[in-house]
Parts: sequence; structure tokens; C-alpha cells
Amino acid sequence: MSEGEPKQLKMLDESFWQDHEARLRNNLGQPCCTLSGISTGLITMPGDFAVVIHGEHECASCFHHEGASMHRFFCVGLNEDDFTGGETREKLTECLRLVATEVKPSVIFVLGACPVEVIGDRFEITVAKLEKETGVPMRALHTSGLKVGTQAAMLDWMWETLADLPPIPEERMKWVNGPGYFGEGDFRDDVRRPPNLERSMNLIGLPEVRRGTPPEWMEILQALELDVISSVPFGADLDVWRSMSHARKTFVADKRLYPKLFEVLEGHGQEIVEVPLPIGVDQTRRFYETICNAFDVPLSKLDSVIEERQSAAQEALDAFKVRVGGIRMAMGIRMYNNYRADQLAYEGLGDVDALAEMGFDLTILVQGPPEERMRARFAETFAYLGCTLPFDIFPEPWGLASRLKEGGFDAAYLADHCRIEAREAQVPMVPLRTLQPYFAGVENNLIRMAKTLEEVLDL
Amino acid sequence: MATLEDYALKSLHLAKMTGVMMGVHAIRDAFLLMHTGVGCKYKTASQIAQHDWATHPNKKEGWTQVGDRAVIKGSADRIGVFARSWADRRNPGFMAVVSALFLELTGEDFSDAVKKAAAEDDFPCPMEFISTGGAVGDFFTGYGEMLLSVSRSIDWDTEEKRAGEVSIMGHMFTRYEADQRADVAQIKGLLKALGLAAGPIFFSGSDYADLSRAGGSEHNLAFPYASKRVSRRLKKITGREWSPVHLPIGIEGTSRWLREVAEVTGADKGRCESYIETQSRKVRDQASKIRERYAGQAVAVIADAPLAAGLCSMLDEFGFRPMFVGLRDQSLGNEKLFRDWLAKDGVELPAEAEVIVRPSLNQIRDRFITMVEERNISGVFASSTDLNLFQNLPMRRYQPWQVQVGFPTTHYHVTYAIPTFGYAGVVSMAQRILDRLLNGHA
Repeated sequence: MSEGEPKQLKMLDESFWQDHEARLRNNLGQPCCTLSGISTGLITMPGDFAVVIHGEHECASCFHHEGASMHRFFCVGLNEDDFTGGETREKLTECLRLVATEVKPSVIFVLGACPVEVIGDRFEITVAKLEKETGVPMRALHTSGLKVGTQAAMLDWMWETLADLPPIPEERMKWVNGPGYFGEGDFRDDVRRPPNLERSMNLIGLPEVRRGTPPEWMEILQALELDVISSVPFGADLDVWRSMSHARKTFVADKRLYPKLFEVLEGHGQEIVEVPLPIGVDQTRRFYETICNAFDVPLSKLDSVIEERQSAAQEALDAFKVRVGGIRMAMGIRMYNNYRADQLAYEGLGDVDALAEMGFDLTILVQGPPEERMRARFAETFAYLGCTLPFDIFPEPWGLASRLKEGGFDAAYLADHCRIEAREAQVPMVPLRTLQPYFAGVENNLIRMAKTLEEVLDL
Repeated sequence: MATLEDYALKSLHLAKMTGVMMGVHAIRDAFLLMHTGVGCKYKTASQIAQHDWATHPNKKEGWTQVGDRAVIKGSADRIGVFARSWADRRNPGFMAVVSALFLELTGEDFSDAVKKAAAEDDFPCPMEFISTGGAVGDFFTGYGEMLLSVSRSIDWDTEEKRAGEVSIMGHMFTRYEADQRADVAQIKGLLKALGLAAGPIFFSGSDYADLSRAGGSEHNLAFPYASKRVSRRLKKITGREWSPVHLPIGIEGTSRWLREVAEVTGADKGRCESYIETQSRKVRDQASKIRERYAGQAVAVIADAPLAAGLCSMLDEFGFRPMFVGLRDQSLGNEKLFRDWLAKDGVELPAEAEVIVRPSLNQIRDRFITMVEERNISGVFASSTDLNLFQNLPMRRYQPWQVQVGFPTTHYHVTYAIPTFGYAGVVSMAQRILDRLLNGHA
């Protein structure tokens, strides 16, 4: 190597590295492995199903082993000889037969892994054979990390698969909300009736409500005589997914994200309607209004149902806003790879309106490549979403401390792994997407903000 | 003929790559470069992030961004580029590079690519390739491979030895929170009590530079996380014997540990016995608070063999009866190590006690259902993965009291020193158990 070579090599490295970083960051959010994403979705979902990972044991490490269905996960455990010899069928057959006959689930999802894809294993043939032999429905999905895709595309694929399972017949279908339902599986049989399908809906991609609290919409939509067949993904079990085809309309936070799922639902004659993420007073109001408009419910009726909650939330908000007085807050986006629909909705901007109505002077910090061409792309996206806030781009979370200091921010709303950076900058931080939804969440959000930011409020 | 259990997801189904990352995480300035698919990113920092609230592991890993095109075109060339770029950005003391089976199937020589990149004059730190493809081995195998890789990069031919200094190989350090730091402090304190000084501990959250001093230690101990296989290879790499010792857990376990260390280092045995006498008397007093009130309660322990053995020994001292034991490891000696340890501590499991090797989550769930139905187990010591099964049992009205141990413990975090090791570990565990017992469970 000549004297000048290392320097030149490093310059080439830099351009190669930047090109590849940009290639990934051009995508919406961070890149995603479909095996990891779908396993994460299924392991947390209750229901009478099993999952078989068709790969090596190492592949089963690519998701957290916690959730309602963790005991129903199996791994074929292929080794080098199986792959190099192309002999994967025998173990898969044995595994599927054991799961089908001993666990007896209503459906088995078979998920592929990278080595299986590399050798071109057409395992769907084995799966189809075993489905026929055992009578247990099975779905073969060629998941892997090879085709680097987006989290939204992964969710769309998983949800399409679930929604496309044979529906539960109308008379036995599961529905989550209607007269006599009080949340957490608590029904009062004396007032329960079958849902009115003409006034029924699915809700997709809404934020998770703190465990143990029924979402506010249950009571409000009941009062409006609207029935909810499914709310997915949070809290939904397999039967909920298999019932959603019976609804008449589907309301979704960010309609652009799930085209395959909507193809299935539209095939059942459903109308797909976009709603805002119901965080904060204004967005929650618009969420309910959109639903009412779609079902021709007079807004005067909505007003009478929500008046008390909305006024209480607005009152708390007004009092808080006075204290905030234009505090400068940095809000991060594109920082997570956690497969959460509410995080992915509206490019992560779903909380912006709620923070703005609290009185914060917001600046968006976008995790991404800092080149000018990307700045222009982000600007276009923000304009499309109607967001006119100032924004800045940072390449990775480590080093955010100096950016927070230099930017003169008083507070931050960032991914939870940025706590150390925020602490270093001495900027109080609230973790992203922890604001609670609906009118019911407003007061809690304000309390949390007030406690976290008490050092900078009222200055 | 295989059974359903052979295919079911295990209590600890994390594999080698996660183990390597744990080793990387446990060296303050190490870095992991993953020459893998995008899904492998979830096997590493992501598995540790919720377990460690003190230091976020994300900062210590990079990915060569291999996708389908790179597999077809050949991917080995990417390693040098990404290694140099990340070294520039992070300035690590040590860099480990791992690959995945699907890439190794292409027949490219990644080890050679790493060697070449590491050999460049201006590459700033030692860099080692660790193959994580293949079906053999578990999480602890990966951690062991990190022990070996780091050891390979160190100069062991130091002439001058620091008298009385003890290096330790095979300590499992999973997070920078105060409980794990306290365990390291306990090891140091116990050695000091013997008149010895702790040298580098592989791994303990120290910098690589600190570990690289290990060649100068006079004595060398191997904890059980340096398995027999790893210890054999360590002997070849380092040219020295690594004396195996168990973990200093429980009163008897800690006392035995001190005696064994005194024996292999030639430390003053009178001093050792005097220390044991004073400390164990104090701690027995503390343990008696539980023993006098709750002796006889049946408990379950689900942990890797070394930890399970130490806990069962300690729990026996509290008067508890370990009736169900699940051993989560595949490579640390498993049931043999477990039973040998208990025998050395003079602990006999109840005749009806059940010991299961590598139990699946499915199997543990079945046992939990029985525990809840028959109320035959009062307390459970297990990782947050295992204990999560309780959250989704069909009947949840009764639950045994639960203490999170091992990895991961995502619902147990600490703000002050709560060790598991040493005599102080007995007192700390007694308090943790009392907190559960008195919280409406007893």
C-alpha cells in the first residue's frame, strides 16, 4: 500500500458508507426484517394459532420472546447439512405434524428465514401437503431479512394475511364493542344484542390505551349507536381479525400504509376512511367527527355525547397552555423500529397537533441522512402532510445532546433510547408516542408533561 | 423420534449472536459489526436494550447492510469498508465481527476479509471474526466465543507478574445497572478479604485496555460461564491454567468459593477462615428472619445451571424447598454442573423435585398452570421471559410470588447496589424475597 492509499481508501469508504446509509434512509422509517416483524406481531396476539419458524435456531432470536402466544412458537431448527443438502422438508413435515396433532390450533403460520430463502426452498408445497393431511389450515409466508423493506409494508402483509383467513360466520363472530360491553371481556348478557352491521366498523392503527382501561371510544360510540367489530392491532386476538370482514366501514390512521389489507376489506364491500391519530383535544374531536360523518350521525348528537369530556379536556389544556408559554421543544421522528402502527402513522407526526395545542414551540428533528437532497425530500413529505414546522436532520441519536444544547431547546420528545443524550444536555425528555389518546388521555398527558417539565415551566 | 418439545421455543432460545453481543456490551468500549441480514439486528442490542436501563447497547453495533443484491454479488468486500467507517465514528477498543449462516452458505471467506481489514496499518483496534452461523451452541457459546476472541487479541507473554493479582475469565455481566456493578464489587471485595487484588474480569463493564492487562496477573480463575470447552481453548491461547470455581452465591457457596480461591492462589487460610466465620455468622442472622417465618415453602427456579445451582443453594439456606428447576443453558455443563455444585454445598433437593433441562416455554407454562391450580409452589425465581407466561394464564387470580433473576430481567431494574454474589448477596436476596412475601403473598 502506497503512502497516500489509506487516506484515499477512507475517502472511498465514506462515500460508500453514505450511499448505503442513504439507500436505507430513503425508505419510510427504518428497514425491517419481515420474520422479526411478523413474529413480534403474532407473539403478542392472543388466539388459537401456532407459529412455526422454518429456519435455524439462531433465526428465532430475532424477536422478543414475550407475549400472549409465546408458548405457541416452534422452530424447525435446521442446520448446515439441511441447507447444503437442500433437505429441509423432513424436519418441517415432522414439526408441522406434531404441532397440528398435539397443539391442534385453528391455524398455523409458517414463517421462512434468510437461509431458507437463499436456497430457494419452496416450503409452501410442504405446508400445503400437511394442511391437506392434517386438516389444520396453514399459511406459508416467505418472510426474511433479505428483501429490506419498510415496517409499514411488513404490517400490511401480516394484517392482510390475518384479515384474509376464513371469516368467523356472522352468527358466531366476535365483536369488540356494542351495547352491554364494558371492556376487558366483560359483557352484560341482559343488554347485549348482536351488532347492527349497517352501523358497524373496524378501527385500525389507533394508539394503545393504558392496560386495564377500556378505550374511551367504547362508551362514546355506544352512545352514538355505532358498533365496533374490531380494533386492531392492540388488544386484538385472532378471532377479532377473523371477524373484521363483517363490518361495513373501516377507519384507519394513515390510509397510505396498508394497501393490501384494504384490498381484502374492500373485497368485502367496506369503505375505508382515514382518521387522525386521536391524540389531544382537536384531533380527538376530528376523529369522532369523521366517524359520525361517515355514518350520517348529526354532529349535534356527537356534541351532546362528548360535551362534558371535551370541555373538561379543553379547560385543562387552556390552563396548561398558559404555563407553557412557547417553550421550545424538539420532537424526534424516524427514530424507532418497533413495528407500531401508531408510530408509523403520518410519518411519526401524529402527535404534532397535540403538542402544538399544548403551546409548545416545536421543531422536528428527523433522524436521517443530512444531505441537501434528503432535506428537500423531507420538506416535500412534510408539505404533503400539512406540517409547516421548522425541521432539522440528524444522522444518528448519539450526539443529540450537543444538538439539543446548540438548538437552545427547553424540552424534548424523543425515542426512549435518547434519555442519556437528553440528560447530558440537561433537557427534560418525554419518550415518543407515550401521549395517551382520546379526551380521556388529555389530562394525564398534561400531568405527565407538567411533572417532567416542572423545571422549565413557569420560568 | 422427535417430540413437540424438541421444536418448541425454549425458555432461553437466544443463540450465539446474542451471546456475542452480550460480550460486546460487557466491554465498555467494544463494538459489534454485524455482517448479517437486517433481522439479525434484533438478535443483538434489541434483546439487551430493555434489560439494561443504564447503558444503551444500540450505540455499540453497526450493520453492513446486506440485502439480497449483496448476497448475489458477493458481500465480503463490505466488511472492511464498514469496519473502518464505524471505527472512525466510535473509536472502539475492540471490534467483533459476526456473520450469519445464510451468508456463510455462499462460501465467501469472511474471516479472511476481517483479518485483512484488521491488518491494515491504520486500523485503530483489534478486530476478530466470530462465526455465528451453524446450529451448534447457544447464547452462552456466543459469550464464550467473545471471551476467546478478546483473549486472542491480548499479549499473554508478559514476564513480570503482579503478585497477588487475580484475573477472572467467564463472569456474566449483562448490564451496567447497580446490581451487576455490585456483583463485580463483591468479587473484588472477596478477593481483598483474602489479601488478593482483582485484576481484569472478563467481562465486567471495563474498557478493553483494562482487559488487555490480564497477562500480568499472577493468578487465573475461570467462572462457569467460561465452560469447560472454552477453558480448554483458553489454556491454549493464554498458555496458562485457569482454575475453575463456581459463583460466590449463598452463605455456603461464598464460603466454599473463598476456600477454593485461597487454595489455588495460596492465600492465607487462617485469614480466609476468620473472614468466613465473621461474615457468615452475620448473614445467617439476616437469613434467619426468613427461615424462622417461611421455612418449608416450595419454590421453582428457572435459570442457567450456574445461577440455578447458586440460587438453590441459597434458597435452601432460607429454608425453602426447590421443587421445580428448569436449566436454561445448553453449553455450561447443565444438570451435571448443577448437581455437582449442590453436592459440594451439601444441599440435597427434595426427592420429588423435578429438574428439567432446556425446558420450552410451552412446558414451563404447563408447570405454571399446575402451580396455580394446585397451589403447590409459593415462589418462582426466573427471567422476565419465563415470568411473562404468568400474565397470560387462563386463571390469574392466584399467582406465586415472583423474583426476577438472570437474563433478561426487563421488569426488574435497580437504583442502588443489590448484589447476588457474596455474603451481601444473601442479605440482598433476603430483602427481595421479603418484599414479595410481605406484598400480600404470604
